[in-house]
Amino acid sequence: MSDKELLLLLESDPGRGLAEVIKSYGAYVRRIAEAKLRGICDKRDIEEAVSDVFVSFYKYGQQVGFDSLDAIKPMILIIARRHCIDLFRQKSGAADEVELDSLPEVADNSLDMHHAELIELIKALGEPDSRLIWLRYFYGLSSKEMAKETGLKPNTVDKRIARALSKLRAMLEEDM
Amino acid sequence: MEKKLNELFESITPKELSLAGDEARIEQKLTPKEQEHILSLTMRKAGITMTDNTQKTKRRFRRTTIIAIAAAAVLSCTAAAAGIIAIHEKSVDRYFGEGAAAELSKKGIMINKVETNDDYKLTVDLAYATDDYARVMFTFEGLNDAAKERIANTTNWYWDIEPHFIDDSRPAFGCGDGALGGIDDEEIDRDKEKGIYTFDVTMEADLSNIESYTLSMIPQEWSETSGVANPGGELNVITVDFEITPNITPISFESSGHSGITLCDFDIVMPNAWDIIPHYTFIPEEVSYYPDEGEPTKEEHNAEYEAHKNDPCLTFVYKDGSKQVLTSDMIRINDHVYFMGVTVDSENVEKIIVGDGKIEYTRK
Repeated sequence: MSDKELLLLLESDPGRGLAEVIKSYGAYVRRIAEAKLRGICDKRDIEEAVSDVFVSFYKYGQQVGFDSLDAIKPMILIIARRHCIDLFRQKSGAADEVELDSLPEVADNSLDMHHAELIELIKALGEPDSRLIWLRYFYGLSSKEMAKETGLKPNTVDKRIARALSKLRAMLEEDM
Repeated sequence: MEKKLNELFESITPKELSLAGDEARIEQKLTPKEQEHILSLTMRKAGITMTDNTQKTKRRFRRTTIIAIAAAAVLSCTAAAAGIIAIHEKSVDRYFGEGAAAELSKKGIMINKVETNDDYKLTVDLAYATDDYARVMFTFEGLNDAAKERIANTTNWYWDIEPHFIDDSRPAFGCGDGALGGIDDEEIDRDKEKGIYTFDVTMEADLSNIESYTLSMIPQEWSETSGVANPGGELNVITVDFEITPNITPISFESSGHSGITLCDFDIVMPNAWDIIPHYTFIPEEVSYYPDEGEPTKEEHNAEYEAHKNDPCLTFVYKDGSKQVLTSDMIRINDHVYFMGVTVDSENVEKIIVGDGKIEYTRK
């Protein structure tokens, strides 16, 4: 089901709509929660965190109207990161290296050209390297978790990431 | 470069995120059971009443589970039937070599659990556990032509091993994460002609807090596109309850410059095994293989295997001076090194030699 279809379903039948959204993006949110909260949260806390993310998304959609949204995935990923960083702070009693206030809001529609360029360069690396960059630096997965996700061996993951970083650096220098 | 990436991903906006394509995907899916659990939590918090559709799915799932558990209770009275034991032993011998089942039985490791419904049979062939991990081998087979054909033609099946906690307030580390979340290693074999699947699964666990496991198999196809188990189809759950407590005490070994490892009769926990054990694999003709640039081709792989297949990967030196050599065909490597078609008498191993002997582990 596409994001557009999901948004229509959320509007007409919230229960079924949420069920479909969780089917489509539940694993994404759990990945972010596991990576951010590993070591300080148990399985139940992580499940609670995942469900809280979907509740926040649902409430936000209700507030602004699901029909006014363009896509679901980017919003859910942003909500998940904000929520998990906040939870990390509460649970650990320590400040995260990322300031919550510095994170973009769900409704932030700005587009930084340097960011856009870097995202395009990552895409240009091609798979599996482009995917490994996202898994490591956006989702925060360990080499072992990335190995499970991609089917590569953990040491291959590490080697490919190192190679991909060098390539990215060279591509950026070329562009400058 | 890493700094630039961290800066990007820390401040990425929804608009920028939408520029990412398929490369930002996560492939592992939640299982239907996990989806149901998250949905139920979310709906309760969001104050949404379930639709008829959702309620129906939930009731159906519960009913079939209850039936399965009741059936398992009846089965426990008849589990000692000679026919069942014979099937079970055959499976165990396939994993660990001829006569292994009898040997394991002497050590009190055998598990004897079978469940059937009209179409399928689920057998827990063997389960063993240390304080840190549990390994379960189970067989799923069709009992009639239609079920066998379905098994033969379906590539993915939904299964789940659920731990029952002794103390709910102390959940087990890394375990109970759902069907695949807590899985450390999974090896699946399928006999298409006979309509049989065999599964060999290792889970990370804190066994000191687990009372027993339930293994359930929902024989419904998993749709790769929707991530839904047989959308719209009837659930037909088959469940086996089995108890497992730590029944293996692994032995610790150490080597200068390397992390410690533990050995039991069936495997070694050795997270750096890929890096240090010289291991060669044969890639059969029918297996698709696409090496990256600069990596060996299938032909080069197989030539290397032929040249080195008899080289020692691991040599176990026993207290009486005797040696047991395992070659590439006798081990499977992941975070654990699993022994294939052979067991090791771990209690009497004095030293473990890796490859040509540059690395040696001695008993702690």
